[in-house]
Amino acid sequence: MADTRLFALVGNPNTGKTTLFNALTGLRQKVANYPGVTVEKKEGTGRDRHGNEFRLIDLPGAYSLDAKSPDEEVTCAVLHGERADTPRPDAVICLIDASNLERHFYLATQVMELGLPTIIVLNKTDEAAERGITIAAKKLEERLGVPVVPMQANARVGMEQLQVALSREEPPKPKWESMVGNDVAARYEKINALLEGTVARGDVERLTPTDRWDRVLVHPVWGWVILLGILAGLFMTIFSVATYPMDWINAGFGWLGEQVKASMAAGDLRSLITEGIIGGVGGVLIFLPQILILFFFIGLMENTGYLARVSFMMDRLMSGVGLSGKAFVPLLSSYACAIPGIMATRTMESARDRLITILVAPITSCSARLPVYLMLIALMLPIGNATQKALVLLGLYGLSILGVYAFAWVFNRTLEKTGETLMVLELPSYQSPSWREVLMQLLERGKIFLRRAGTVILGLSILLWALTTYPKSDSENASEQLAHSAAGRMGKAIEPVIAPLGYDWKMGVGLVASFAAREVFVSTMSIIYLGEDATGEGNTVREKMAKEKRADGTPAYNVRTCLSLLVFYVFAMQCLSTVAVTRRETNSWRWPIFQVVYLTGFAYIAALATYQISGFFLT
Amino acid sequence: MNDKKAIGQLGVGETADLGEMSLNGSAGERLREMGLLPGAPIRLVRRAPLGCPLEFEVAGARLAIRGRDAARIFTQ
Amino acid sequence: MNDWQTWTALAVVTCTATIMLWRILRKRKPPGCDSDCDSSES
Repeated sequence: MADTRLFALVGNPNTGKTTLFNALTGLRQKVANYPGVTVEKKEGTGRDRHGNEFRLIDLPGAYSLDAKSPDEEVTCAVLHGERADTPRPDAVICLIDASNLERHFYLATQVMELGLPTIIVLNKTDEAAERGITIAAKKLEERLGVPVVPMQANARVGMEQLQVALSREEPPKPKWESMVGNDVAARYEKINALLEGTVARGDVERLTPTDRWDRVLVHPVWGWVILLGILAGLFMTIFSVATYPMDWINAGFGWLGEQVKASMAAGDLRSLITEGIIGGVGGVLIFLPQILILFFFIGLMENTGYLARVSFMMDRLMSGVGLSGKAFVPLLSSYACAIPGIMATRTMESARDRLITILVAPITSCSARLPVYLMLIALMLPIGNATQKALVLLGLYGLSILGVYAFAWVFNRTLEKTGETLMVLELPSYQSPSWREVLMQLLERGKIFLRRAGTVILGLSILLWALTTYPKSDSENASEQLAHSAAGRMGKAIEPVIAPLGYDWKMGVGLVASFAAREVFVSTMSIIYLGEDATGEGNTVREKMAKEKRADGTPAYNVRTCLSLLVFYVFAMQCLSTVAVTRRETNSWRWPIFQVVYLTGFAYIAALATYQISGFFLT
Repeated sequence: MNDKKAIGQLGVGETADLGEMSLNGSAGERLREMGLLPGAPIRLVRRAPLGCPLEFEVAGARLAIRGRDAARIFTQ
Repeated sequence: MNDWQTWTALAVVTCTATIMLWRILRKRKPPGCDSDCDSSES
């Protein structure tokens, strides 16, 4: 059958699989999920030397096929053809770190025992050379009977040789005797026998660059200084640099709105387009620059290997509440978005640790909250004051960190322990950042954000516009019209419940609406306030909100209310997608429902406390 | 001559040969799979700034292990 | 008041609501989740 061949890419974590995957597939890749588990499925297509297409699947990193985590289970299952959703690969490309042959061959020998055509890639040969390691690839090839390709995937060195190996009509199967049972020591003995005479190690005792960097970056004093500096720099960048593209986007949407208004008579459809669609979607898209900056920083830290050091330094703080340093990366990623963060917990071996991490992940202030935070902070503090604003934002993030710890501690105490677990964190060598990879990831994340804006947010904006417009009242007064609408009535209905928190019914409408997705709060406010007037620019929403008054004449969005709203948003669980992912990862509805209840309940209490207590200090 | 001690008690920069481990089932297997076999040299690279975990160089890689677990892995 | 704009707007809203409902209900089906499975990130 002239079907396209399916190659599987396997290897230990941190071996450069992603780099090689990108090199072979370019932009022709697709990220999805394995049904039933939240393990990321990465597939792509490439072309071989004959111009034929082949499919490539990047399997999760694994240390051995005796799976000890969901990631490894998937890799093992796919290689054995045991997953209904993924066909068994036709051939395997096994990636090995040339600096550490023995350990990487542990997995490789298990893979070869599958009896599939295999290509062995010795990656990072440059690093090996720096350590004085040379490998006789040809000898290995003879012994194994399969191609052994030395490569530097990030510099694209060795790609031609790999392409040759990929393009063979009848790729060879490995000459390797299967071993029975799990005898680790015995397997290593066979590996050493295999590698005998093929590896030459110079007597290099000098400090590697990684050592030199680690001396500073993991220094008891400087390490923290640098880490805090990086995080502070990140926030300052989000506030200053991002304002330029934000202004452009704002202007662009404003212009678009004007064009529509000029070409249509006033009416419902025009209102739907300008306030509902442009106002709603635009109000969220404007935060794309900041979200990209966040993803960029995290991607850079991960790419260079620094992120593992951060886990290393933070582990002690995490284990105090029953989390491991491995939870740090998922939780840190959750600061961009809890969905990939929760999915990243699949590398955690302990089911209990994973559960706790998943339960607290929504407390991390994800990027969807950023639009809400920024809008409320802008309302709270006058124009300018970038430092003050940055401080408030930092304070919010600090509050979320406290919340994560506090709840992790609680869960650690209350959930039953299932026995001791081991944490092993591998610290890869530093590598200079591959800008290409970081940017590709950024592109992918940006596309996903845009897709979500184009679909979920667009849909919700349209529906919200409808809820705030219909049923229509006879009055000309915009405020009365809003009160008459379905959304207005819902907001008024919950007003008694939210009044002690300092909210009015319009905010109530925003709160209710944003339970599907947080950033919808911004769109809703946009619609509510834009709908009251015919003009339509980003800043006027803010101005209007600033002018909004309560029954007694005081500003509606005063400092106390804004603080209370901010605190509410720090904790409340307002994301249907996160509920869905939690359900998938924990395989039950119990935990996602629990998340919604405990988080929203606590948010209410915390916001209540904030509003009431601040009454003693502020007007 | 050679005192058996837990790897967590090594001095920073000190190397020793691995001995037994008293870790249960799959935890012990995972460590062995990663190359922590009896006789393999292991070196304590550093302790984390907060004291824990400990970074070791063993089997060609840098692995960070918690103090509590390192206390159950012994030298020869 | 009930001009073409109002009717069109209502039609758009109804379509949107239908599409979104359909997507949610489709996802409830175990386990079959294809590529666009709202594993999307913000």
